[in-house]
Amino acid sequence: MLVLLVNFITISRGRPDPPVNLHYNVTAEGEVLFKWSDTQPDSDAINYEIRYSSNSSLQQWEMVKVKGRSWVPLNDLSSGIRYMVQVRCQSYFHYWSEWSQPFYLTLDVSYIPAEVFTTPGSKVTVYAVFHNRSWSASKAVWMLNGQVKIPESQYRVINEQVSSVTVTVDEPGFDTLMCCHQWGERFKCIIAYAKIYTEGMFNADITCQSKNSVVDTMSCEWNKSAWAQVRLLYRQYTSMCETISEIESNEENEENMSLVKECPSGAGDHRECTLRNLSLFSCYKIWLEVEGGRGKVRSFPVYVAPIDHVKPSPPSVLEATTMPNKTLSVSWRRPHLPVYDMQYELRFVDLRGMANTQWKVISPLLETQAEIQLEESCVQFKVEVRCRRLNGTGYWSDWSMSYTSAVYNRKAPEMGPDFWRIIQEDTARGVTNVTLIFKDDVYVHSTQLQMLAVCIFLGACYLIIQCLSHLSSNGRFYGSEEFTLYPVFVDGEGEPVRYTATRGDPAAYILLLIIAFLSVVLFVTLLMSQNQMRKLMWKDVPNPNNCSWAKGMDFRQIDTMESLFPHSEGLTACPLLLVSESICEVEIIEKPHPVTLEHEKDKVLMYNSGDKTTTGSAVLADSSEPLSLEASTAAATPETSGQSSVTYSTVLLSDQPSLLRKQQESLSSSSDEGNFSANNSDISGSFPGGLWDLENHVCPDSANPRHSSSYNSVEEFSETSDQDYEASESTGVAKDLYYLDVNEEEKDEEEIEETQGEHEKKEIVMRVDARPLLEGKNSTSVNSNNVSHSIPLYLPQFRTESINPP
Amino acid sequence: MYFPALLYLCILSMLSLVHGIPIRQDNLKNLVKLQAKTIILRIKDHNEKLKLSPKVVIGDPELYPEVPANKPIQGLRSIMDTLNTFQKVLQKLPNGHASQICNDLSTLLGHLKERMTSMRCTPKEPANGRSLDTLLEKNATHPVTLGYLVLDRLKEFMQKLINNLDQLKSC
Repeated sequence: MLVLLVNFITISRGRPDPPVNLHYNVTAEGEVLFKWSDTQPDSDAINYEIRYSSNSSLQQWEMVKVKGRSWVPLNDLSSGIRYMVQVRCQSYFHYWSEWSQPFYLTLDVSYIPAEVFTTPGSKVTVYAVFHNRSWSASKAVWMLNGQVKIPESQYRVINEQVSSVTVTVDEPGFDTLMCCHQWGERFKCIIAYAKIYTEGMFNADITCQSKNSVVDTMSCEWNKSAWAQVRLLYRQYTSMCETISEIESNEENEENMSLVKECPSGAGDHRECTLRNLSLFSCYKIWLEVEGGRGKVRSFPVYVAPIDHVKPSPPSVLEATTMPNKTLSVSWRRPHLPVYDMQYELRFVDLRGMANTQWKVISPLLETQAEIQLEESCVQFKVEVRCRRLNGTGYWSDWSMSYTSAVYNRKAPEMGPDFWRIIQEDTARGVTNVTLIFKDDVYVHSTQLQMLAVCIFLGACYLIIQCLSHLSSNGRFYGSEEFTLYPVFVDGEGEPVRYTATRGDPAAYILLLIIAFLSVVLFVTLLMSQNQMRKLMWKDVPNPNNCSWAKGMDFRQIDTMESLFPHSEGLTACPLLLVSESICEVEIIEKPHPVTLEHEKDKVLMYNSGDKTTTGSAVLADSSEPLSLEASTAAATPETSGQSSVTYSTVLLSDQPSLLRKQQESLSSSSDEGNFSANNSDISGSFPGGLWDLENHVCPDSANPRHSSSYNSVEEFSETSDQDYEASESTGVAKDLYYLDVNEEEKDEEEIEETQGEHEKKEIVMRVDARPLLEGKNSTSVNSNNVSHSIPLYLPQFRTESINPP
Repeated sequence: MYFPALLYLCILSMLSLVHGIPIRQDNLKNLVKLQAKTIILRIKDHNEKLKLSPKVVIGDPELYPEVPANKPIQGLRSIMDTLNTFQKVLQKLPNGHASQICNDLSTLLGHLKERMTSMRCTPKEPANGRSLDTLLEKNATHPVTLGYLVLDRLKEFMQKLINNLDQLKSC
């Protein structure tokens, strides 16, 4: 019955729970003992099975069975390999539990014990097991705090894998032991190390201060071992710090942890922490505690009253003035907090001094102002002030910002500078040069600027100006500066003179100069290239006014265009005559009596000329188109033909031969169809009297049968034609006619000079080939028999002009 | 003919007064380089405060493979993976001087992550996660030497990164 009951209970309980609390220990002999616990104390498990693997993914397990105990030695594990270990148990009724949670372990060097708590002066022995079979305990090296190698005399080799060391720690605190393996000159160590907590208090040199008058916060700093992880703890007392420290030194009180606070940023490896929201007049107990030391390893506490550890802000609003009575007057403003009385310290240094000039310190000062006696006046100083608590402990503030003293000059200095005088007299010129060599720099005006020269009044104004110019050129300023001179005469001081000197920024002037220079260069370039631009920008458009056939026509009018091209069948497009081609010659034979200015007569003349030409001459080339001839025949009237009728006249002698020559030169040197130019005198066809006056050429003046009136085809026709018309009408001056000769061999300039011979001729004969007319007297003896056959011409087409003879 | 030449000369003279515009460079490379140098200097400063004996070698390169040692740099992905491992270890250390280094490393990781996102690189799956956890769990009570080891290996990796900044251009 009882057996059945036990079986029933067993069956109802089911499979056992897997073991828990897996861990391992290493013995001083180097044995690794793996241990575990059952889930329940009254467990009936009797058998255990342990499996471990170095690589769980491959499921290559090593199995170990244990009966009746809950630990097993695992001495076959290799060093540096991560093993996973699991355990299961078997109940009385042979039910196996599930495998336990995996436990990972890696063996390298194990310390026994891993942590040691000792007291100052006690000996501590620590063992180290090398799980790495290649490491020998005989080559073990022990390091204290990773810095000091412990003497080998303190070592002991237990066996091949185990070494031990015995040390004595004298001071409370935290220390570490590392067992390394000799590796040539170096020591191979692992991460793990043994910890030694020596109970007691150690000196951490805790210092606190409230910086920059922020009295409700306090920053504390300390010294500690680099290996120790600490916490900064503090507690507030309402009594005076002196009282609290005495009480606590006499009694050993357990700290009421409920009142202890920890500085949040002071834990770990830090060496400073800031306490906030403090009471300025309370007492705070501050100390360090080593983590893991169970409260038994701590620093000496400090009792701090924030009011006693304030570092004030430096004084502000400094003012310093060098007075004429050789005193330096300084004043400043103290910080508002703390409110206790303060003392001050002042230091000043001469600005004229070298870089290594020492400060002069005045201390202690109890007021916020000071009067310092100086050795000389008119000197500038750099002044700084700092402050601290007058009665009690505290810290000096930082030095204030430097302030340069002002020199007070309400009037001229009471005493002048020391100087030497050198007099040089030039009797020849009556000039006396006085040179003053000053011992020190002196002031010449009331500003802060220190000058290196002194203006000397000798009664001449120019001396004053030169001196001031010298000052301004040596000055170190830009802009304008006002100078005040105090003239000192033999009989006293004169009225002060003010002068304003200006000085510009040389760099700005140079920049302006460069810009101006470049602007000038650009402007000149534009001017020089005006013609180039014109050529680029302007099209070569012929000026119709320069064309003889387009004279007097307004191209803006449609009628003009139509009159130019009247024939529907169009004009015959005739090429320009080649140079070698000859054209027909026209010979005009003038009757002795004057001819009336009638178009019809002109036409008859033209026609006759044309007839004569056609009959008298036979020099037309086969391919040549008698362009001019056709024009002369076709354009019988100005009204019917857009082309002006060709009218020829003899070249008469002119009263202005030089002018003729000049005009002819301009005529020959330019083309008939040219650019629009401002200087129309340079354009071809532009010559005085370019427009023929038929009537004139019919000898309005019997004395000069060869006179002809002609007008400037461009200027006079378009603008001044009326003027010229009137002028010619009034003066009766006959202007000569000019032909445009395209023959390259001969130049018109040469023929102009011979034009004069034509005046004597009575017969007015007009030849197409003007050369004979122009060559000389002989050549001007023209008649119809002297027709030139060799020189073709491009004949400008001239319109007839009705001009009343004078 | 001469007009254009003179005009160009004037323009060039005026341009000489104008400051040149600098050429734009890869900002990330410069940023990574600066941050790496900063981290190296901080590590040197931290380890010098420990005042370890120069003969002591903590963590042979063959030991503790969970903490990257002599890792090759092969693109942005491998760099991120290695730095993430270092950061995981540093985060386990107690507060102190190594905290600032951890902050610097986090900032660097942020910049690299942005670059990975812009380049559309897929992050690498962290390997040996359990091994590292085991290592950190076991040596949590030895923060000083653990910190020294990881910072020393991080310093070497930073130096290698500076010499291989071109690897930032590829995943």
